[in-house]
Amino acid sequence: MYPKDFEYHSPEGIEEALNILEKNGSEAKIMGGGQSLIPMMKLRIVAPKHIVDINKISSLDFIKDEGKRIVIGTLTRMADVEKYEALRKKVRIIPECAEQIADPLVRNMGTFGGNIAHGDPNNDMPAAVLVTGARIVCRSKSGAREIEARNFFVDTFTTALKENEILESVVIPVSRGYKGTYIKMERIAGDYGIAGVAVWFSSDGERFRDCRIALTGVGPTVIYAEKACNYLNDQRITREAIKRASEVASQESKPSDDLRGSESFKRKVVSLLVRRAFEVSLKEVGSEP
Amino acid sequence: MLIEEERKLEKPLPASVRFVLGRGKYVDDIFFDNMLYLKIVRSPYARAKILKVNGEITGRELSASMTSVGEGATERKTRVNYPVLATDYVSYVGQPVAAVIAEDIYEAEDKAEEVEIEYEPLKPVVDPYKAIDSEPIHPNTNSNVFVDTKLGKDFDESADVVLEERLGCERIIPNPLEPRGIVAHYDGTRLTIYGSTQSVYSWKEGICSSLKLSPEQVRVIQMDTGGAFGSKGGIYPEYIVAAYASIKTKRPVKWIETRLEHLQATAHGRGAYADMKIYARRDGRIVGLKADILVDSGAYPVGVAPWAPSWIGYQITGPYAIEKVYVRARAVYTNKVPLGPYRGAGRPEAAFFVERMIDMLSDKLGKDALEIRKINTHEGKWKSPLGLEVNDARSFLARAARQLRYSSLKRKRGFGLSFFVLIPNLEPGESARVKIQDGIVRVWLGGSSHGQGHDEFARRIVSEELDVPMEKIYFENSDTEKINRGVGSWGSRSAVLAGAAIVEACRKIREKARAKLGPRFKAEDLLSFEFDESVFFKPEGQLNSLGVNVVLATKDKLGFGRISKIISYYDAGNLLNRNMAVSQVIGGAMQGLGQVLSERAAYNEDGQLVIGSISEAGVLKISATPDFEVIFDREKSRMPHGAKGLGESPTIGVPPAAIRALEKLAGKWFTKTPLTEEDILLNGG
Ligand SMILES: Cc1cc2nc3c(=O)[nH]c(=O)nc-3n(C[C@H](O)[C@H](O)[C@H](O)COP(=O)(O)OP(=O)(O)OC[C@H]3O[C@@H](n4cnc5c(N)ncnc54)[C@H](O)[C@@H]3O)c2cc1C
Repeated sequence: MYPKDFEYHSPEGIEEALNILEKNGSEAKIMGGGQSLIPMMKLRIVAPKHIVDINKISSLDFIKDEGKRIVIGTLTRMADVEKYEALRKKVRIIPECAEQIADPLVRNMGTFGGNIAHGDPNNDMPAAVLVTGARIVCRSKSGAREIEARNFFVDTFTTALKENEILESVVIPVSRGYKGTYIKMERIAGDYGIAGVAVWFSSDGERFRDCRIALTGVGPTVIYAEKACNYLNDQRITREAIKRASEVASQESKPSDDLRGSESFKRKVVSLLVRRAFEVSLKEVGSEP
Repeated sequence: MLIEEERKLEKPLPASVRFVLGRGKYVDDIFFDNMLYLKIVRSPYARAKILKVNGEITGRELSASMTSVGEGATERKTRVNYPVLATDYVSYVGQPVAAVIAEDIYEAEDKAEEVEIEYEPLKPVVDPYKAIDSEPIHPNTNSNVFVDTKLGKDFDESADVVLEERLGCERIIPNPLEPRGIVAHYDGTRLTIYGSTQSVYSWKEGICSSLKLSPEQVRVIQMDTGGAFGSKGGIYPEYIVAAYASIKTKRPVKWIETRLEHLQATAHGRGAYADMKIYARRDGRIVGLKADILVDSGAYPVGVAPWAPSWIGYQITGPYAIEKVYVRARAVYTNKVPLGPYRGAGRPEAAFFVERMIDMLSDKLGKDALEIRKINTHEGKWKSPLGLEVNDARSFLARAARQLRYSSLKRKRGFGLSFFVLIPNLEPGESARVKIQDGIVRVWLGGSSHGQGHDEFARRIVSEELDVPMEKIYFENSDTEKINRGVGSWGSRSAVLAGAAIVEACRKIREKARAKLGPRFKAEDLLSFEFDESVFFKPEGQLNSLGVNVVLATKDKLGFGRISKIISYYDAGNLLNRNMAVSQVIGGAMQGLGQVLSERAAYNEDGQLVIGSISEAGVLKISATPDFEVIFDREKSRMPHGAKGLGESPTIGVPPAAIRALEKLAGKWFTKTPLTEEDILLNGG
């Protein structure tokens, strides 16, 4: 429970941070809220030689409402994401997901970008940003690039981020008429879920359009339930269609047996959550199936 | 807290206020200038031969053994030696094998990584039932079964209904918020120990015995203790190593357990199973009960395991008047951390076993939960064939039913009732010391608080008995130097026994004061003299009390059963402090709920603990709290202050009622704790 020796850097600007990354390559790790990194260091699961604490780089702590898109800086605390009004109004799935993460203590420290950059399949935010069609802005000394959230999550604890890159911000498109929510099922409140489900879709009142479903905690990374989405697109909004889609999504999940439950149970939970997420979302607009 | 410091605050503060103000002083708050930090190197295997150990402190140098002290300690000699540091073989994941000391804890952690140990892994024995016939885990024994006792007389019975079931309470990790810790300080002649403990006396006994020190050489002082639940009453290898390291270096040595060490190496609780068989008449009257109890002792016999099987057996009839009882009680070694007492220590297990059977019988016979319990109770005094005394169970149950509005509650679908007996651990008594000097009163007990707030009742009794205002009364934690003899705080005993000892000490002071000051003296007079009385209070007979729980469950939006309300109706005797009593009941109810819903020390077939955090251990959080209603039946006891036991009642009564409430919703029988989420997903979702 005591980390190995490391050198601590506390840059005040992004350039300085990028220089340290450039210089130390795989031996450097960025620290945001430290809520995932510090426990792993204390258990000596990871032992980075250089810690680059970005908390002093205030230019990374922002939420900007640009009308058609909302940009969230990596250092924005989960607790601020949860409370940001414009997000509530325009992309409610994001704050709804944020408020289900861990407990207030963790959310006061944990950052929006850290939750995504960590690449933990049990982290909740990846599913939510994925279904909104967000893009992840990564910056290195040679400039910034944007990665589709769908292409960002490579494997457990592995993302498309390069060693010399910082996740700078996340760009969330504001899509008018889209509904959806994030729901997770926990064994112990404030813990990682047994499974979590993000749904985001549009409709013409009668039929589903552009459905997106993503699953947390039931595979090596967040899972985009493509088949379930394809099935549901252009289907009439009915209980049966939702049920069918929930079963397809459950088949697309790849859970494993562990403390949180058996594989088959987790599949059951996925289908329950998908159904519930659609029901809750549809209730909002008064077009109950 | 040390009195010198507290006096600086002028008015003595209740411990609860001190803690909220951040003025608690725990063992990890102790710093000495030249202090060393100890780190224990532990076995990563459940079972292995040790081929080689190269480290700073090893079992070759410190070749000492553990003794059994504290709650449920046994004098029985077993052939199995529990080494402080393993030398030939290891028997559980987390077993201490070597130790390092360093100037700071980071350095100690690094040094620990350099200790070289070679193991030859062996196939571990994990499942307690399989352990019965498996190859013995200890080379000098011929079986893993090391306790096999029979209680009562075997009988033949042809009853209308015979019901058989295997029931179990899986192991639980105690998980107090403050893990274990010790500072050992040897000054060249004497060893002073500061600890997070339930008993300074067991620590002293254990350390003296392992290190062959005389009692005069050792003083043990209890620091503020942030929870224990039974796990800090006994002695552990780490304490012996810390004491040894301090003697060796003549420097203070600190060891503070990490959470991961706590999960692996602090004695687990529960871990008891039973094959139950009841014989009943069609009207629900139980005419006979047989139980075959198996306790998963873990690797060594130092905890409660040698005593637990027959202790569970002794109370297997609960509050019921069952005429024929026969128990076989066994304990087996397995490759797990030794079993220890855990809030209730045998009582919750016994209650779970008998209450489960009664509920299942009620289903079988279509009987109401209260009716079937009532028909099995006795009015007046009842002594079970195994010696358990229960008084007026029938009228207590009737009072409880009235108070709880049973007839309207039972209409709910997710409804569970339990009825139980609490046996406080009175043996061999407990001590208190009351001292008046310099215008203030100081009080010490043989066993102090690990979160219950002993200071509240102790100061109140002193105030009432001596008629001295509360702000003149200081409570100090236990210290072997301050009272010579004492026991410890566990088994719902402190308010009853230490409370009675305070009453007697105060009465002695009054007597002496009367002799000195005449019959009508005032508090000021008393405080201007010096008095000092220590009393060891020895109770006679049993002092069991009764309790009833009702638990309600409902179905949540996703289709899972959830506990919505816990109602307690407990006989707590004369309540010394209602707030503290209610807190005990609510905290204990949450623990009982944790046992049913999630708490489990899960091992895989390699004997690896698969729990890596307090969260994974299943400890419930505040958001899981249901509604509570706490009602006390305040029948005064024969103690001078009328107190009865209470602290363990909720962990006894809540699990059977909670599991029943969920079972009713699920429509299938549940036989063990904890349930899985899958169990409480109702009608397939
Ligand atoms: C008790 C507890 C419960 C939790 N429960 C949940 C839960 O239910 N759901 C959930 O989603 N999460 C949960 N978490 C995790 C929590 O949300 C973390 O805050 C989050 O995973 C990481 O955010 P952070 O800012 O703390 O990142 P850190 O811990 O600082 O970093 C995590 C990883 O991301 C990298 N990183 C961080 N920021 C950047 C960046 N800008 N650019 C590049 N790399 C970066 C780090 O190098 C590190 O590898 C829990 C944590 C705790 C302690």
